[in-house]
Amino acid sequence: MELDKTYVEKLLKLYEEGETTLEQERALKSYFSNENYDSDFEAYALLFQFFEKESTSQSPPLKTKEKKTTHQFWINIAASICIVLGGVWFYNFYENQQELEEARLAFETTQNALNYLSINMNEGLEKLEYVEVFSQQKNKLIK
Amino acid sequence: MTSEFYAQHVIPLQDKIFRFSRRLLSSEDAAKDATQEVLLKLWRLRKKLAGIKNIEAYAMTMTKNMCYDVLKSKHSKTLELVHSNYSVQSSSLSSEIEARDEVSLVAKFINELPEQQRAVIQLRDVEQFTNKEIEEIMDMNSTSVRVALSRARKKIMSELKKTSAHGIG
Repeated sequence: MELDKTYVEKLLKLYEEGETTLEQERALKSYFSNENYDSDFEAYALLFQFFEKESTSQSPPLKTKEKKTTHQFWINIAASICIVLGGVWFYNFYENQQELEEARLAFETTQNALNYLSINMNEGLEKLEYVEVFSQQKNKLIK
Repeated sequence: MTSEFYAQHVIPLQDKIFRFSRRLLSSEDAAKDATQEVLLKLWRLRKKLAGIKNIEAYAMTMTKNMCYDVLKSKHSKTLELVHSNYSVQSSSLSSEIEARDEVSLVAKFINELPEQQRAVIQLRDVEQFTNKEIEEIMDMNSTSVRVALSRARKKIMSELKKTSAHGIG
């Protein structure tokens, strides 16, 4: 679209006053979008080209970031649960092991004690045989 | 049904929401967060969206409010950190780097405008909203929209003419 210089000048004046319509502003934008604009308007060209460029700039992707963080959040939770469960399990295991060890010790000590007792007991029984013999002899004599 | 509605009417607004928040917050990352927040909010409201006449303007209003909240908390934070001027340094550095590019020279001048003028010029000259819609979004009357627009345009143009007179632009 070709606009003559005086018209552009008039539009720019209105533009600075905030009086242009959106259509007129679009006309200005397209006037400055190619290299054919009047060099007197160089400064304006910078402005309108900036607006053009800015209006097409895109937002960087956002979704992945959120997904990743919620994802990580759940992984963190799962990891903490694993650690806690592991800790509890190990504690239990250790505790059990400790109990078994104690029980084994107690059993061995008791067994030793009983063994000792039974050996002494057997020794005692051997001595009792003399008593048997003695009582037989005594029975022979005393009737 | 409602998620279809959301996909049809809200998802296409993502770029606009992002550009508007980037203009207001002057930071890509903050704008990304704000955009995410706004989209999430709209998703939660998806059942009510069908009853809204102008979803585009509605989304923009939401974006504006979101960004103003962010700016408010940022201001209070920078007040707390009065002694560390890291952010000031980095922002002037990044704007200098940006300014090497001619077109983003314009961006630099726009970003130097007061918040409200920045918002109005973005809505009008980039997103092509009507003045009526801008009144609604910014909660301003028609005169103050026109005045803000005019001031913003004049300011940017005077800066641009200055730099091109120096032969930089």
